[in-house]
Amino acid sequence: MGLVSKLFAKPKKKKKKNQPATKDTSGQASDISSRFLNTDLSKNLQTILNTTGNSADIIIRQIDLADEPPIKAALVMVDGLIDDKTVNETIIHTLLTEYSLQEAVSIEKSFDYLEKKLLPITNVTSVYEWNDLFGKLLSGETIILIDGVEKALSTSTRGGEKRAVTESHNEVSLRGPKEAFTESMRTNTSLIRSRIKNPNLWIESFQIGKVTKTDINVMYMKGIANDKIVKEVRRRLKRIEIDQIPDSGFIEQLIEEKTYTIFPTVFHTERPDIVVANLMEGKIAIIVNGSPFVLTVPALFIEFFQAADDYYARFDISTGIRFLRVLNFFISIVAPATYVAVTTYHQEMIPTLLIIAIAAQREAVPFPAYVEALLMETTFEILREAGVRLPKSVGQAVSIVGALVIGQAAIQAGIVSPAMVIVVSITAIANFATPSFSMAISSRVIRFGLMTLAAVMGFYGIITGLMMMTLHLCSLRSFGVPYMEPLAPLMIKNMGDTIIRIPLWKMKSRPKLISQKNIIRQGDNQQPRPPEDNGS
Amino acid sequence: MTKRLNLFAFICITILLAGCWNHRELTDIGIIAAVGIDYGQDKRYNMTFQFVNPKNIAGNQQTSGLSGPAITIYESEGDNLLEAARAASQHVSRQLYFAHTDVLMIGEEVARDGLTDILDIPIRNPDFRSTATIVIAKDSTAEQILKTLTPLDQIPANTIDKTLQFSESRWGEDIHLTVGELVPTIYSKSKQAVVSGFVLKGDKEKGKQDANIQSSRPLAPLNADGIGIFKGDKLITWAEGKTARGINWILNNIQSTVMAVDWKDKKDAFGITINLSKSKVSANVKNNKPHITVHIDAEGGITEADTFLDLSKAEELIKVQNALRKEIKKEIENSIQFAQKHKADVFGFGEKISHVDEDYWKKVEDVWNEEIFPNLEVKVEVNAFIRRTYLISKPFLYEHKGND
Amino acid sequence: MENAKLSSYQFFVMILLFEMGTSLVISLGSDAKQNTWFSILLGSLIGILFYHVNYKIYTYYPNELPSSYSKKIVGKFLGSILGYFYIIYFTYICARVTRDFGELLVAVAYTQTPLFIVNAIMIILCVFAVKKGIEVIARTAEINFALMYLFAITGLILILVSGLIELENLKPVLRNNWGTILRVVILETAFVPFGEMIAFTYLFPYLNYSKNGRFLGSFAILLSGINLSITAAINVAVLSVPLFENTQFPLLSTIQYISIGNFIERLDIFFIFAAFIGAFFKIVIFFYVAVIATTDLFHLKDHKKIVYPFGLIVLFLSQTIASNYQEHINEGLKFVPPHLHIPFQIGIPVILLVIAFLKNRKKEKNMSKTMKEG
Repeated sequence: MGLVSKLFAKPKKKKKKNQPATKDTSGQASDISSRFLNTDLSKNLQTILNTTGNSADIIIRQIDLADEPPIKAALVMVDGLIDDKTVNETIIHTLLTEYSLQEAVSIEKSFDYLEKKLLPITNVTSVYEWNDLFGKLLSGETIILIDGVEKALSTSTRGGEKRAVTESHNEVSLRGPKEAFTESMRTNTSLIRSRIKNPNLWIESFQIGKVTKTDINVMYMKGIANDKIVKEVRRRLKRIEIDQIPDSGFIEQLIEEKTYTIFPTVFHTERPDIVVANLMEGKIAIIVNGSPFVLTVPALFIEFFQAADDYYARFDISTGIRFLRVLNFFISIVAPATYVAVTTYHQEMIPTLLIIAIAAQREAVPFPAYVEALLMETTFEILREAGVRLPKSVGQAVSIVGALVIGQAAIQAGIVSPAMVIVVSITAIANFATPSFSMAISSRVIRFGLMTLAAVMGFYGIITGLMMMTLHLCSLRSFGVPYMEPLAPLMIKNMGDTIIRIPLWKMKSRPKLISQKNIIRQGDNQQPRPPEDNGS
Repeated sequence: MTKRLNLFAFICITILLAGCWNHRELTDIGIIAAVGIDYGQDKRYNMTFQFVNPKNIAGNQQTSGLSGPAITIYESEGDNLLEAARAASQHVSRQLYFAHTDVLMIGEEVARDGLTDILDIPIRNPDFRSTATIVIAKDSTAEQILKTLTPLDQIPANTIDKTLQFSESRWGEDIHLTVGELVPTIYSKSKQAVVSGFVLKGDKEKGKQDANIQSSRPLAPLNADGIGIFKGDKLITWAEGKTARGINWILNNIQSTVMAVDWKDKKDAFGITINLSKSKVSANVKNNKPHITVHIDAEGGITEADTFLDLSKAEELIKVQNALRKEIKKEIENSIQFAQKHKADVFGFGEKISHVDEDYWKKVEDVWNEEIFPNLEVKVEVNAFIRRTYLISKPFLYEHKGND
Repeated sequence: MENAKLSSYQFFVMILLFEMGTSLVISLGSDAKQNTWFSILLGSLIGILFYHVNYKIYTYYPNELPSSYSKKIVGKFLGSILGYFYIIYFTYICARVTRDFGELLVAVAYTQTPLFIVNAIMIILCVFAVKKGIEVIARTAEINFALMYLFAITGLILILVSGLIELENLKPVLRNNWGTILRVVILETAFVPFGEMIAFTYLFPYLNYSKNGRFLGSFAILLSGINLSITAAINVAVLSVPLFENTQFPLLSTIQYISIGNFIERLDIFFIFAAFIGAFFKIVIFFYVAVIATTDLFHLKDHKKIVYPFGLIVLFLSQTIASNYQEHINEGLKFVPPHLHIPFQIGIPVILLVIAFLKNRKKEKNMSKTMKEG
């Protein structure tokens, strides 16, 4: 390897020794000369205008609070982030009319007066530092600066446009609540809070993202969740040193256990009822402002095959559908590989009539089976990607026509064989049946790997690939919990909710490795029965 | 990090190098439906291969307008079977693929000379499945029979296979035998082999052409005919008709068949369909003399009555039942005598003796077929029952006919 | 030694899969003809005996690997030599099983592929597994165990439904054959696969609740013995004795006969699956044990560094131990049991046990003496 790279290396310029990349933050907020506010109002206002570069949406409303002694004040707010009604009616109106009705207050006492006696606002805080002030200002709070006071009053007037709570588009359920999370973190936490009316539901707040300073809330049930895992979550979140967090996906990738794996170790969902169920099992929820996807950790392999509907329906149908899901997963990874292996290595496996039919079809196709499979699968992935980007109005028609026409035309032209099209379609449909999106994309990648192995060594290759996958799965951990629990290590008590789903009244205990205490969740004898005296 | 990547690349390359020694595209293999073995010149083996032509199988989207016969025949000669098979690659544009071979047909001449040479390759070769049916071409060469096209099945091998299956299960005069079932009996001293035969009637030349299937009655139909009796690995004679069925009675191969019973002076007056048949052979050795008992349990119903008898009465039914028992017993005893005459224990009586008294068997196994079996006393017990007469009881049509 | 713990169930499952291993698919003890099933059962009982001997030694030196406690029993020098020989023994057996499996695959399905490639793929997989550690192997064993049993039960049902079993073929049962049966037991089945449990002496320290070790091991050996003997009985029943004696892979022949409704047939692939899972666990456990023994004997820090070289060694060894399959089989039946299996599986452990027992008694006597005096 050294020889080859030397052959192809370009002559290198001598690098200067170990100069770390500097973070050039000149001209940014951290560049303010002093950390704390000034007593002079005009100086403070100047600092604000300079730092924000006279941004058009910063509103500064100057008010004379009193004439004798003259007390000047200014309100600073960001247009679009505030709730205009609150600002107008509660702050400005109160300041303009009611302040003067009170006895004269000195400048020193005016601040306390505003904070504790005058303003009918839910939340007020004192702000001393510039970092703090800008943080609050840009969150939608109104800052009240008083001339001669070196602190500011920050009032909560958050408003602005938010998406309403609607139905979930990605995780549809037939039975069960339809509400989905939105981008506003407070709305999301309120959706969860309203479902768990228990003071033990604790929320911790973080601000992650050096530049964007995104708000992150971590929720867990104190007493059910494992304290060690909570600590670990805290530790990992605090470690993050990135400049922006646009979506919970970033958090997921930065706190996950192992990066070089196809399988997701963090679970995400759009539905409050799923998060509530997970919290009750002792998992920890991470809510990111600006993202409708809430993360829960730790995540186990079997979780990605469970849908909310399973719990709301009866146990027999749920068990059947779960079996179907596992089967689907297998089909979606193994089907094209099996087709390739069987038609090129193990022709004795197929019944005679079928092999004759397939042989007749393949006579017309110029490619070997593996190339054909690869072609069809890639085409399908392209179609799928295209389908996501198309605008809704056109999307449906184009994808149906496209698939039909392209499929049919390709067969007629003799580029692919009908059997291959069937295999690819079955694979795709099976793929869509996986409830969790992250697992579905994993299976897409695995499928290609297995196809290659099948082309190389037939069934032996497929078995080897599957065994490698099993070994890899068994070595994963999610926040310290083995990924394949309760299948391996086998815990029979927790097996009630894996591929099968035992009746609800039987699920007495929570998963042991996740929540180490408070394991019993149901009393005994919960099986529903008719009353003893039946009929009389 | 780079070290890991290097190692990983290494491994990937190794796997890819693994390459495709066993890689066979479907378009490169020739699916052989039936194999025939005959003698060629100078007693070399002449093998006939019935290749399936996938393009010409009806029901395929990919067929172009022309269609020819669904099968193609190729022949090849060699000193042993392996040589003959590989030599065929000189004139066949495909790799020979035996995993779907359903029929192994052996010409009568070869069968009379001995099958041992032929049977090693089907069981040793992993490609060849031991569930293939083995058949002997009676009074002809395998080549002739395999060249015949058949109207109902596109692949004639299917005709042979299915005909044998249905004949065994519905008629009882043939045996559907697989290679795997044949092999233990070929050299066993305690049970001799039996193999079904197939015969080609009619115009053999026309049988090879499309003309055979273009007319409403095939010009050269294929028939299953008789059971070949083997001594060791050589075919010695044919058991036909009722004798063949008798053999099947004892071998517990009868699933369903029809028996005809004479009544008074009318021959074959009653037709009885046997639905269930079970045979049990028990053996014991007393005073150094072996005794065999063949016990048959059978059940059936009267499906044809050509003479008048008041079948609504149970006693009359019992009379027919007794006649049935006698008939079956006669058939079985005839078959046993036939086998004894030819000194071939095809029933496995020796095997039963060996289970019961191993010491005795060890003493006599070499002379069993020649000396002891032909003089063996076999007791035949038939427990046949007629359970029902189906939709009508008295054959009232005959009731009135008798009165004319 | 790794910092890992195995639960009782994991231990049990690993022993089961290890024992069934390749023995499920090759002709085990087929010299006993229709009484093979009996000689397998007897062999498993003897295997349990061997296991108890080894476990007893472990109870004297809990939480230690054999390479360290053999040093304590017979002295540092002899103990190291013993440990060294065991490493070679395990590597050799690992190569044998790899060769077994490779030959099987080449004979049955991959007739044109060179043996080297088939073995190489298996060894790469084992290297991958051993690098991940024993806990991962144990967890994978749990999942594969469920799969194996699913196949086994499905296979059994299919064979029954196909009506292939002819109980007549099992007669005469246990008559006049005792000489052969006992010879088969003493020379073959007691050692392969049941005596190969010696490898698990290197895994005892990992067991979570070591009190269960004796029971778990015995039960697992018994269960695998029952499984193997049922398989052998079914093979004889389906194939009849002459075919059974002469085929290299009786289970394959049996599976090839399954035909239900003309549709469910040609199930050889499940045979390959079963063979693969069994062979994989046998190879990986021998491999792991050899690596761990080396790490312990030479006081290496980490077992992961020597895994690749070991893989290469096993691979090349599997190519060179025999020039054709018959030589390989004959060596395994005629040469290996008396010269290798007897000393390593039972000879040395018995000697170690006796010495350890005497030493312990002396220690107890000394202790009770000092306690009386004190």
